[in-house]
Amino acid sequence: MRASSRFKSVFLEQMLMGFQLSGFPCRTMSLRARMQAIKLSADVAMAVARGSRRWTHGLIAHLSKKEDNKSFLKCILGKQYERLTMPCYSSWKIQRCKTILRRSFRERFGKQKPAQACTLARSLVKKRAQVLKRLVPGGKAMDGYSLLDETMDYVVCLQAQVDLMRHLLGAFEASKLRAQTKGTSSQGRKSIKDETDGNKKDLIELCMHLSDNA
Amino acid sequence: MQPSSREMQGMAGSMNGGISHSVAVAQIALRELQNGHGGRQIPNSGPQASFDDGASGHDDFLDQMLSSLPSSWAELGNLKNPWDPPEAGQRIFGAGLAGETSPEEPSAAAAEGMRYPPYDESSLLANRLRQHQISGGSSPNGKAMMVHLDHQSQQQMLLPSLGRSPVASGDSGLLSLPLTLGTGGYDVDAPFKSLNPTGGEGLFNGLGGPLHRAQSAFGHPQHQGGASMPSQNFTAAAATGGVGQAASASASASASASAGGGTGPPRQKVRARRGQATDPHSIAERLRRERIADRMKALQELVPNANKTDKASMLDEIIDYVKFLQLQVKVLSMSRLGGAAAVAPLVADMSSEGQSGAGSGGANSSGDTLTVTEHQVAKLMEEDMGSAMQYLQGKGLCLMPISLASAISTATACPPRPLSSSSLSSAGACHLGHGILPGGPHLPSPSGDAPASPGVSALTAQSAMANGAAEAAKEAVTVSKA
Repeated sequence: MRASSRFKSVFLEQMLMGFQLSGFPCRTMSLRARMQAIKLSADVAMAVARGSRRWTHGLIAHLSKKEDNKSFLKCILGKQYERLTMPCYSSWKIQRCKTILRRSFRERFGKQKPAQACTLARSLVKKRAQVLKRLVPGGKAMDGYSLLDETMDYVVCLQAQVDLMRHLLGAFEASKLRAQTKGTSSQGRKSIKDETDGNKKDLIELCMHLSDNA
Repeated sequence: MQPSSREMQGMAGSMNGGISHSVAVAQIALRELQNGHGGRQIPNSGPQASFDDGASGHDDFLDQMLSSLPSSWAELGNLKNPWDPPEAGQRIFGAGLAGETSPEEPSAAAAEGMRYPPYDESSLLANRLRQHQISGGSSPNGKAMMVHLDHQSQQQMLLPSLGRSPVASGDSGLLSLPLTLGTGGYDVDAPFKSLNPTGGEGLFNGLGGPLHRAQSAFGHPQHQGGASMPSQNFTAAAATGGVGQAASASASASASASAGGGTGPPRQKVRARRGQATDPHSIAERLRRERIADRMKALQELVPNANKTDKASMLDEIIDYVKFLQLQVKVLSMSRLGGAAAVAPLVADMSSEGQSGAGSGGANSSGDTLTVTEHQVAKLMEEDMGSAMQYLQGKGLCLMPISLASAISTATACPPRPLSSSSLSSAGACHLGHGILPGGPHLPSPSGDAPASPGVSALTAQSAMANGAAEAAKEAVTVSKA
């Protein structure tokens, strides 16, 4: 299962817009901050490109919990920001109910025949399902089937994200090389600035081309 | 009824013709009953009498119908495919039948249909379908007809339990149904036609209300029959208690189903198909399990190394893969710092100087930036070797052992520029695709001076070349997989 080309183009656009918003020219940013900014814009771009899924909502909600990201998210998401970051009481309730039930069961039954094969297998699967719930954004409120569904979607989008970022990197390197070879001959910032918009389109096209061929 | 019996002479008689044929048979049998013939003889003579009239196709069809009446119940479940998922339909059917039966014999009537275990069903089903095709009727009609006949047999089942009817066997029991059917003296086709959908629905929609409806629908043509009234009340009463019946019926059915094999005619219990229960809860369970299995299969194609059959290990693989992908995103967002620096002039409004100068600018302003860089690299090397490599590469530098650095510095004293650039370019050949090539051409020019090369050598680490950096970077990415 591959992500659609529409996803790829929207992702790239959004990511470049995110870079713009984060204000990258400041080179005083530490390494960590820069990495976080890039990762943030990449994640938001992926969520926006995918559209409305449970894991995308979970991802945006998770990202908006940090204070630093809020302004960025507001700019990128615009009107949808308020709607997407609304606390979902229902999911909260589900989690709470489950923990209450789990606790009560544990108290009541204690240790019951752990040696039974079927219960053992079930507990193994349960443990792994819990780990998966932690990994997939928004997974805590999902039951078994929808968890698997969202996982599949999330994996497809992650694969596309990694792919696109790699190709974007390659395109950047190529254009940087070109800019440097040209830059020595070209005059002043204005020409570079003129190149920016054209380069942006070129970058996107180059990325799409590379990812399609791969 | 004579004209109707004549209608059916052709092979290509419609299903309605088939229906009326059966009704004709029923009425003929009824008349013979009323004439005082022995009930036993009728199943043999009646149908055969009309069989002489009818076409061979209908003969076979009805013959089968009459002889394999009990198994028609199971087949009915099978043929429900267009209307319901087969299993669910069958289960509902079984449950519905169980609901209709008496309290004394909890799974009396329905078991009759399910009595014959699956090994008969497929052959019977194939035959049945062939007959349907031969007679050329539309399948829903055929099924509806079977529905009716089964309901008739159902009624017939109830009669013995009521201790009413003279007939005990399943086959001959059919005759009492024509009794109830024909006594109304109704127009033959109309009630059937009107009943087709409702009868079907009543059967297929499961317990409760629809069952009531079906029963009441059948009550109409049958209310004149002596046996029908109590039976109707009976089934109505039974239907209300049907849910409880279904549970007990399924319990007994599953117990008896496991035994396998046909039972004698007097034992009328619901027997579910082998390996299946009639409980709606287990239906939902099964559906849920199937959906989960579908999803796991789809995930198997996505995730590499997913040839595991076990659910737990499959989940393990999925978890590992998701972690791996997330780490890859993290690493890529780190390594793209060199690229990010290049993005700025290309994308953002350029207020600062052009980026073409920035690469060499970083190398030129050797003093403070190098110490800053050194601190950064030291910090990174604590957490992760690969990220340290990438950071340096983003800056246009690389890590190499001191010996090599000294070799280069001595080499650059007499400047074979291609040598240094080639060594640096080989160092730049990196798995992650961002090399120090852009910085390469710039580096040798200041590295001709003394301070730069010690600066380079000061950043040595255990890995030899940037090939080692590539390996380390690969390791950083792949270490999570181990």
